[in-house]
Amino acid sequence: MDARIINHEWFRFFLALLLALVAARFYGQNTDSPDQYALGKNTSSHSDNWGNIRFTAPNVETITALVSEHRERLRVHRRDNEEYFLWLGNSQLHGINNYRDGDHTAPYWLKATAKTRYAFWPLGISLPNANFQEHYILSSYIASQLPIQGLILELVFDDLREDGLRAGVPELVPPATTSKPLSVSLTRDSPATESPANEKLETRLEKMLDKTSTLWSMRPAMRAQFLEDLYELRNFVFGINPTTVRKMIRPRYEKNMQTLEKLLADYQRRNIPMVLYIAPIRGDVQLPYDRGEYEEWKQAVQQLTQKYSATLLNFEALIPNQYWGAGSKGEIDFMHFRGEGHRIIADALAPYIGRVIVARASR
Amino acid sequence: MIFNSISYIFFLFIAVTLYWILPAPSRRWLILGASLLFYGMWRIEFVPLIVFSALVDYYLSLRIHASSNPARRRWLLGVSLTTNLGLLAYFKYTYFILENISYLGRLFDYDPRADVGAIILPLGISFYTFLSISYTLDVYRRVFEPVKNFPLYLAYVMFWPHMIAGPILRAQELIPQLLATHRLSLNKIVSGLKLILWGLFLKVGLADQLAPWVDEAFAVEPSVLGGLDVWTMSYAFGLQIYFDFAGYSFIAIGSARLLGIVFPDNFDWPYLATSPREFWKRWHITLSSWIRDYLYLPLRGKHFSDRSAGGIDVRADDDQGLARPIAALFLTWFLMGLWHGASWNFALWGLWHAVLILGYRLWKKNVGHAPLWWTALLGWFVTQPLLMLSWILFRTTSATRSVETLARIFDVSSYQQLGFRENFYLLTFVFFVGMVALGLATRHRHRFASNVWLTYAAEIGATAVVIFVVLIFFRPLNQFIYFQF
Repeated sequence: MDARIINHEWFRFFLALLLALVAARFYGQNTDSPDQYALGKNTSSHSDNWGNIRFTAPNVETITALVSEHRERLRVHRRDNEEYFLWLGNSQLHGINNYRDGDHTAPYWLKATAKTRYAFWPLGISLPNANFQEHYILSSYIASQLPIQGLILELVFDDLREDGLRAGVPELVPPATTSKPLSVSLTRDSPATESPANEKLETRLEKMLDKTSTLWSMRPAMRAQFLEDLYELRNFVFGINPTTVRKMIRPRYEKNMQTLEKLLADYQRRNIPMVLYIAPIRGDVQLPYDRGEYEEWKQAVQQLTQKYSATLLNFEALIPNQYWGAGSKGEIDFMHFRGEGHRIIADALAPYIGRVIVARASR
Repeated sequence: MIFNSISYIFFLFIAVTLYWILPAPSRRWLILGASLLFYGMWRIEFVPLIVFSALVDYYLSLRIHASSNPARRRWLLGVSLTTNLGLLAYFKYTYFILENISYLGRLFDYDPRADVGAIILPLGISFYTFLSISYTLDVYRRVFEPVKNFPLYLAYVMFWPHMIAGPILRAQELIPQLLATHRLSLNKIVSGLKLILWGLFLKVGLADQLAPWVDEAFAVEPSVLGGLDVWTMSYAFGLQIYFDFAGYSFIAIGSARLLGIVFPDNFDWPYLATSPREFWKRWHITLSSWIRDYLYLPLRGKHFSDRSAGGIDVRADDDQGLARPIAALFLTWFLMGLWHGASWNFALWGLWHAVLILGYRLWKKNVGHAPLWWTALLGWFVTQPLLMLSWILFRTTSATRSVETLARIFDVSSYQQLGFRENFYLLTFVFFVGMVALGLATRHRHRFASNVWLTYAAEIGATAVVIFVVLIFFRPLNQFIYFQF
C-alpha cells in the first residue's frame, strides 16, 4: 500500500468505515431470531388457535391483537355463551422444547379437556421472564377489555429477580393504576424534551431507513445478538451455567411480591376466582435457587393465597425428568419442557378449573 | 431535536452541505436559520423568549460600551443581569422558592399558597443565560467590543451545537469564527465526523447501557440498600453522567468542526484526576472556567481570565487571610450546585465539593508539593471514591433521601446482601476499569507512536469498533442528562 495515502486521516477513516460495515453485514447474517435468545436453541415459541380463533399470545403485540379479536367476537356473539379465563405466565407457558407435530401449549390442552357447555377460552398470556409488575398490568388491561371469569397464575421464583416494564407494556396501563415507567428524571421542573413534530419526523425517517436499507433493518437482531454474545462471554469467564445458584434480589423480590398481593386483592374485590400454581422445576439437576430463599418464598405465597381466598397448587414435581428440555448440545434447560409437559400441566389444572366453572354455573 | 436521533443526522447533513455550498457571507444566515429550526423543533413558542432576551442584551451591551459614565454603565449592566437572572429564576426556581416559603410558613403555623400553574423549563436556559451574562460582563469589563449586528449576536447565542448544553463559549471565542471565511477540507470533515461518532459511542454505547440500571437503583428505598449497592450506584451514575455529557460535548464539538468552527475541549479524562482541584480542571471545563471568571474570582476580588480553558484552576496562595477565600469558595459551590438543579440536594452536592477542595488545599499546604508518583496514586485512590459518592447527592430526588442513601455505606453488616442483579455490579466495574485503562493508554500513547503501522492499525480498529457499536445501538431512547439544567 502506498505509504503516503495511509498518512491521510480521511483514508484511515474510510478504511475503518468499510471494516465496520463489512463486520456489521457479516454479523447481521449470523443472527438468530430474538425468540431463540430468550428460549434457548431447542425451544420454540407457540401461539395456539381453536378454529382459527387465537387464544394464546407470547408477546405484547400479539396480546393486544388477541384482545381486539376477542372484543370483536363479543360484539357479534352473546356474552353469556363465552367463558374467559386469564392464564398468566412466563415463557414456560408458550415455549415447547423439541417441538413435534401435534404439540400444543398447556392452554390448548386445557381448552380441549374442559367440560363446559359454553365456549371456554383459557387466554394464555405470557411474556419471557415476566415479572409480577407486568402480570399486574396485563391482568388489569385484559380484565378491563374482556369479561374475565377466572384467573390462573403461574408462579416462577426466578421471575422475582426481574423488574420494570418492557417496551409496549406501559402503553397498556389504564390511567392511575400504576406509577410512571422508569425514565431519567432528575428535577421536577425538567423540560419537556419530547416534541410531537420531532417524534413524527423521527418515526418517518426510521421507517424510511428500515425500508431502504437491509443493514439498518437488521439492527434490532444484531443488537440482540451482540448482547447475547456478551452474556455468553460473561458466562464463560465466570463459569456460569443454568444450574448456577441465583440469589434473591431483595428490593426486586419485595416489589414483585407487593404487586402480587395487589393483583390478588384486585381479583378478590371483583369476585373473580383465582388458581395459582408453583411452576414445575427439574428434579434431576441442582436447584438453581438458594434453598432457604425458595422455601421462604413458597411460605409467603401460601400466606397470600390464604389471605385472598385463592387456590394454590404445587406443581414443583409434576413433570417427569424425561419431558424436560435440553439444548442442541445437551445443555440443561431448567425452565421449558416438551409438548408432553404442557399436557400434564393442563390435566393437573383441569379438575380445579372444572370446579370453578361448575360453581359459577350453579350460582 | 436531540443529537442522538436520526432527525439530527439528517439535519446536520443538510446544514453542513448547504453551508459549504453557500458563499461565505450567507453562511451566518444559514447558521442562524438552522439554529432557529433546531430549537423550534422542540418548542417553537420559546423561540421569541430567547430572541427577546438576546435583543435586551444586544441593546444594553451597545449602550454600556457607548457610555463612559460608570454609574450609568453599572445601571445598564444591572438591567441586563436582572433580565437574564430573572428569566432563569422564574423558569427554574419558582417552584423551589415557593416550596421553601411554604415550608417556612408551616413552621409558624401559616400556610401560604400560590398557584403558578405549570412552568415548562425552556431547553438550555441555564446555558444561554450564562452566555448572555458573560457577553454583557465582557463588554462592561471592556474585554470585548460588542457586535453591531443583531443577527450575528443571535447566531452566537443560538448556535445550535452549543446552545442547549454547552460548551459555554465566550463571545471572543465564537463570534470571530462566525465572521471568518472558512475553507472546506476533507480532514476537517473527517475529524468532525470522528468526534461525533466518539460522542455517539459514549452516549448510546455506554451511557444508555447504564441508564436503566441506574434508574432502577435510585428508585429503590434507601433502607433496603446495602453498602456495596450504594458504592455501585455512585460509580455507575458517575460513569453514566460522564459518558452522557462528554458524549454530548463531543457531538457538539464535532458538529461545529464540520462547519470549520473550533470549540474548546469540555472534558479531559476527569476520573484520572488525582485531586479535587485537578478534577475540576478536567470536568465540564468551559462551565468551570465560566464560574472561575464570572463568580469565584470576582468574589475573591481577584483578576479574571478571558478564556474558556483551565477550569477552576486558581492558585491557593493568597494574601487575603482565610475568611474571604473560604467564603468565596463555599458561596461559589453553593450556587454552582443550585445552578445544576433547583433542589437542596444539588446545593449539598456543591458544598461537598467545596469541602473536598478546601480539604485538599489544607493538605497541600501542610504536606508539601512533591509530585511523586506515589502521592499521585494515593491522591487518585482517595479522590475517586469521594468524587463518586458526591453523585449520590446529585442523582437522588431530595436531600433527605441523599443522606439516607449515603448512610447505608456505614452499615457494615449490609455489605453481605446484594440489592441488584449481578450484571449491574459487573457492568459498572468493567466500564470503570475500561475507562481508566483507555484514559491511561491515551495519555501515554506517545510511547507506542514509534511504530507508525501499529498506531494506524490501532486507530483503524478502534474507529471501526466505535462505528459498529454506534450503528447497532443508535436509538433516540434517552435524552441527554444535561438537557435538564
